[in-house]
This record gives sequence, C-alpha cells and structure tokens, in this order.
Amino acid sequence: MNRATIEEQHIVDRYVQGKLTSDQQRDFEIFMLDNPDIADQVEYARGMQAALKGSADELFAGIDVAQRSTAQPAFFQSPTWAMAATVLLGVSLAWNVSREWQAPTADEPRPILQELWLEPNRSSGGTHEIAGGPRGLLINIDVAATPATAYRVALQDADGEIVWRLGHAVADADRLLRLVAPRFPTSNGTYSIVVFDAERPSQPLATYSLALSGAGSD
Amino acid sequence: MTGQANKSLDELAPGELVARIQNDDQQAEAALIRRYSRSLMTMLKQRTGGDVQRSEDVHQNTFLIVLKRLRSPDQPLQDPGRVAAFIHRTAENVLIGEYRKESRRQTYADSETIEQSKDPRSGQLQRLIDSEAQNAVRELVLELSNERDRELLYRFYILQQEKPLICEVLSLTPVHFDRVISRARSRFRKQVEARGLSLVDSGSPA
Repeated sequence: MNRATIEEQHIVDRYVQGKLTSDQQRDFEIFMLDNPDIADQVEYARGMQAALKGSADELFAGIDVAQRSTAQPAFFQSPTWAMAATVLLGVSLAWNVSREWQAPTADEPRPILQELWLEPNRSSGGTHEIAGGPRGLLINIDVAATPATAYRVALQDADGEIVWRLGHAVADADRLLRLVAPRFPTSNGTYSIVVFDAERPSQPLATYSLALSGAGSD
Repeated sequence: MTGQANKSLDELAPGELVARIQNDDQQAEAALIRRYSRSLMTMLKQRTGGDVQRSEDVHQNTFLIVLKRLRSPDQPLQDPGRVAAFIHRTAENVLIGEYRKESRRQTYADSETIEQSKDPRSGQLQRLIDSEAQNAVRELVLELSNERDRELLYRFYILQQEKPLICEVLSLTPVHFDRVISRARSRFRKQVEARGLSLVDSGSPA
C-alpha cells in the first residue's frame, strides 16, 4: 500500500464504505497507522459520506439512475432504496437454503433478489425500507464486529412470528453473512431480522428493523 | 521533556523508537503512543461501527499489551521497523477478545446504548458539526458545474457503485472521475475547516 495506490483506487472512500477486501483493509490500516494524515482523510471521508447520505433526498432529487443503461445492467436502484436495497437482475432464484447454508463463492450466479446490506449495529435502531413482491431477499450482514463460528438468523413479523429462519450460517472471508430468504413476506408491515451466535442463541447479537411496502407487486 | 526533545523523538524511525523503549525510555513510550494513537482510534471506530466507547477500551488495552511486549527483553519484535503491523495485529486480537468476552457474558448488542456511545461529542457541539457538515456538502454539490458530476457523486457515495461502472454509464474518463471525487473531498474539508470546525479528534484516550 502506498499513497499513489490509495489515491488512484479511492481506497479511503472504499474503506469507509467497507468495500475493501480483508487483505486490502489490513494493508491500508497498517499504512494508516504509520501515516496519521491518512487517518484524518478517513475522518473527513466518513463525515462527508454521512452528510451526503443525510441530505441525499434533497441533494440528488431528480436523478433517475434507471434511465441510463450499460451493456451489463447489473443494478436497478432508486433514491428511496439507495441506503439499503438494490434489485439484482439476473438468473432465476434457485438456491435451496432449507439445509445448512454456506456462503456462495463470488462466481456463483445471483438469483433475482432484492439485496439488503446490514452493517454491524451501525444500522440498528433504524428502519430499512424494502419493497415486496415475488422476489427473494438477499441479505448481506456485516458481522465483523460480532465474530462467531456460526450464526442463526430469523426474519420475524411484528408479532414475533418467524417468517423464515436459518439455523447455521457461516460468514465468508470478508466477514459477511450472505443469506437468501426464500420465503419473502407477503404483506406490508414491519419485520425484524434477528442475528444470534449459533452457539449461544439465547440472546441476539443484533436486530434490524425492516419496513415492507408494495407487497404483492413485482 | 522539552519541545525540542519531543520533536526529535517524534522524528525517530519506528525501529529506533522501539529500541529506546526496550532501554526503558518512558519518553519514547509516550512518543510511540503519540505517533499511533490517532490512527488506531480511526481504525477502531471503523471496525466497531462507530462505537467510541468500545474503541477507546480496545485502544487502551492494545497499547498496554504493545508496551509490555516492547519493554520485554525476552520477547523482542522480529522486525521492530514494522511496529505498526504489530500494533494492528494486537488491536485486532484485543477487539476479537472483547467480543468473545461479551458473548460469554451473554450480553447482546443493545442498539440504543451503542447509538448513544457512538460519539462523545454529544449534544450541542455534535449537532453543530452535523449541521455544518450538511451545509458543506450542500454547497459543494451546488457548486458542481454539471448534472453528470452530481450523478457521479450520487452513484459513488450513495449507491456505492464502483468506478468502472460509473465511468461506463456516465461516459466519463477515469481522470475526470478522479478529479470530481478529489475536488469534492477537498472542498468538503476546506468548508468544514472554514467554519472553524474539525472532524479529526485532537486528543486520544491513551
């Protein structure tokens, strides 16, 4: 890691966004320890990204990313979903997650899903808006802050009824739990995703609130 | 300790600093903490999702372990010049240990408590900083000369799309992309500082 790489690859911003690989993150953090001015850049990048997100609806009103397309249209996103959800267009939903689930490799095809990113505790207490429909829900949970050998995850409705659960999920090399919820809620309302340490399931590690709207539509 | 002496310690190469610590130089220990403290806190805040209280605990324990090891004549570092890597590895282990301890106690992530502990600059000052940061980004976005650059920021910072995709969709050169991002970051920092504020922690808990 050096200053040229950090600049060229926008490492500071991607570090704040949690998008570096484990190796990149380690190399960058060691470089940052030796270079405190890089830490200052991280603090400002963090502040700027938080401020942009806080004013996104106002600052970026009128931008319709769906109007532009590429040769490989990977994502369809709207400002309302920007913080929490993207719609993946691709191959069909085919994973069988009724058995023990393992993180897919990067090369595996992605099903048609909504994708939801949940960061460790940072998002707890907030509500993630998602749209309903026949698609499944791909849930990415950053568990770097709550390391465990394996996790249990449950999707519950407002009454605490379990819509879907997974008894044994293992984080991948980037400390992400990548889960597929095949039984997607069919009615609007508030739901919770609750994460447990599989070995100590008596207390949740984290709880995330979801607001489902547009259920029944595609 | 005079300012001049402090300065000379702060300018020592990491390996030399470690050598002085091994020779019981307490001022060298202070210099080591001065050098690495701020970056370590930044790293820990990132690793804990902004949990300042936990970051400070890990920061404290990390330096305790690091200094104990560096003082020990029986366990010298293999490569004293890479003391940053040793601090990093120690901090990671301390952090994992913290979570394991918490797990054994069967406590759980209380989101409300964590929200409250995210930043010690609570209350009026934090609201001022947040408000001025919002004003700063508002100004920098308004200053953008064209709609495409605004969309660039939206895609990169809000949608968190990658640079190659954004350049392709918006028909931008990588150089243009870099220029817009670099200018936005630079403008943001200048505007925050022009308001007499700083997003950098001046002190450390060590």
